Amino acid sequence: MYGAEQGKAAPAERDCVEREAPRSTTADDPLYTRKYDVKHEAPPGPHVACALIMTEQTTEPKSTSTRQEVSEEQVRQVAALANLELTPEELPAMGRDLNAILGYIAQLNELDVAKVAPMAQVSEILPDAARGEAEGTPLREDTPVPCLERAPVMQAAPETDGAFFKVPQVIGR
Amino acid sequence: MNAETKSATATSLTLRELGEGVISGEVKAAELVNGYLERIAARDPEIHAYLSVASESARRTAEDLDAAARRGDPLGPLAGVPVGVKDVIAIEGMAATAGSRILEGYTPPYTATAVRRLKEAGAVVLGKLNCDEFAMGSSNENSAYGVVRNPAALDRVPGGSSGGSAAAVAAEMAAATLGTDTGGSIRQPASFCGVVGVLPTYGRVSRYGLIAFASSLDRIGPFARTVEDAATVLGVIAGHDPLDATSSERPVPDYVAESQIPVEGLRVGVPAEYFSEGLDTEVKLAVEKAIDSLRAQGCVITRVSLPHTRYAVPTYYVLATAEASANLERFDGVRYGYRAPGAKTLSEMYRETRECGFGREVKRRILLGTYVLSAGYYDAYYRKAQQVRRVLAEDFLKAFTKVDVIVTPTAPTPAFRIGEKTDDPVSMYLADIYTVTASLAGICGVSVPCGISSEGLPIGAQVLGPHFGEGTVFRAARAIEGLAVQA
Repeated sequence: MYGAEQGKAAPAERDCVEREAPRSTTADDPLYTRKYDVKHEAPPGPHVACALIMTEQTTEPKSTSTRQEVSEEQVRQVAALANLELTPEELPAMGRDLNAILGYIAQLNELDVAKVAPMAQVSEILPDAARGEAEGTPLREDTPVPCLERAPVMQAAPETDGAFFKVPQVIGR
Repeated sequence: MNAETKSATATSLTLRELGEGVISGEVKAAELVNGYLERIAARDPEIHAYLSVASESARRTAEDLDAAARRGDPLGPLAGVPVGVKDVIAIEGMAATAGSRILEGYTPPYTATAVRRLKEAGAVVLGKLNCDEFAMGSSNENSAYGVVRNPAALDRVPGGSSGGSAAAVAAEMAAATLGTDTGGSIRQPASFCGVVGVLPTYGRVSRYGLIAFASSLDRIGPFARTVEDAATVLGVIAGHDPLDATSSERPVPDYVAESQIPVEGLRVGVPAEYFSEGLDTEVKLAVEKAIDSLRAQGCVITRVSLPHTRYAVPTYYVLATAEASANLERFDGVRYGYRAPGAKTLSEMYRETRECGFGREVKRRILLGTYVLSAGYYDAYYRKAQQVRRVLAEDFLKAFTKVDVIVTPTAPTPAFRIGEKTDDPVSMYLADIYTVTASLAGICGVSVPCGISSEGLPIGAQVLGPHFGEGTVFRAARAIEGLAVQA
């Protein structure tokens, strides 16, 4: 493979073109066996460190108890919003992961940041930002410049007539 | 010294010396490039750092450089220097996968600004480097094209997401590489593989041509064997670019010159929050030794406090996934890469393409990001995380009024075993515990080797500096490097 110009390694085994192929993300996949219940037990490894840092620095209890679990139906809705189609096997695994991560994220509720302005961009906190001349956000002249040629762009498309991208039917009957 | 002897010892020369050698004709770019290609052929089958190798174009470019040197044409400072590029960065005419199946077969029609600058400086691109899918991961196990193995211990991960970039430098399969860092993806693999990895200040290096993961956090930066080499590469790729609206107009200083200023009198901050329980004992000892060495070299060591550090990982995973969910909407089977066959309607095609094209971790993050941005949760998660982001950044701004740099461990442990954390996303996310805060704040940093564990695994120290403080960071890192070989 190394002699070939841009010889590329084959993707790891993951059969997706055949839709009926079994997914590897089933509940009995060893990779998906949860070793702990995130809500009640600290996971192994550095998380323990985090939990310790927490007790060291705050007297307030973790306010994760009020958080509602995300239901499978909600996972399905979020997946639909994201144009992801989860298989029946993936759905519960993703639900568990999402709940584990959201449980961990819930510790942000310990902080009272009601009066803090949200920070969306690094430029907002640079010294110049106070003067309204946020560094890194200069506005450029609104003058037309050449953009990419159409031909090489269309060449990368899965289906095209050379001028437009072609897609399956947009509006159903 | 004849050309052959010099290129045989190429790995002991700095990148600048290599470039000068090629310009003077003492070093033949073609021999240099061939040497690296031979090493790739010999070592990469077991390491798997490269996703594609452009042997032919690399040889041709090197021969052209040698011919130009013979004619006395002006050549750039990196003339003939063989480099590798993480496969989330576009190079015209070379396949770009982002480690994902959804971009299989995609060849970008344009070149990233950072790569264009490397090429203009004379560097020769050897190929594209393996990484976690869309740079999402801390172990390189999320690549759709297979794991990368750590050259220091083949049963260990190289770190991630720029695992291939770090491993290639460590195994001498590239003289320098480009990686990207969104939450630690340059610094953590640099630490795991025993090389130098640089997180430039947000806005210092153009993001044009970088396949976006989280745009307010994504940065391109170099890997190299030494601080001086990393400083040389950063000097080449940094600078304003009209094609990136967040790119800074600040002039680029001579980083190599700044790195050579002695550290005497430099104020070094040590934050207690980065040395708590859960930090591996050997890592702790190695970083403390690095700090002792800085003290011995005349630095003033001060305790500083970054009191909100423990909120950084949850903040990061809200903001990064929210941005990712928006950025990755573009992968829908219409304009590039993979399209699921046989779909009858457009929406069916979108869903099936994304279902088949994306790996598990990418889907997990898209779901999380979509959730935290969805109606009813936006304020509780996304807005809240943006507010905490400011608090975290202000911790650093306050600390940097008292110290010039901050020294911490780069990662809580040396490289872990392949498969060790794949079943547990939260545990995997905590591999970034010491790196994400700097990502959120937009400040700069370097991971520099500072020791070796009893099992022979590299240990890295992280040197953080204020926005646009790269020169000072290199200065401190240079005073630390060398400890790893003495250990």
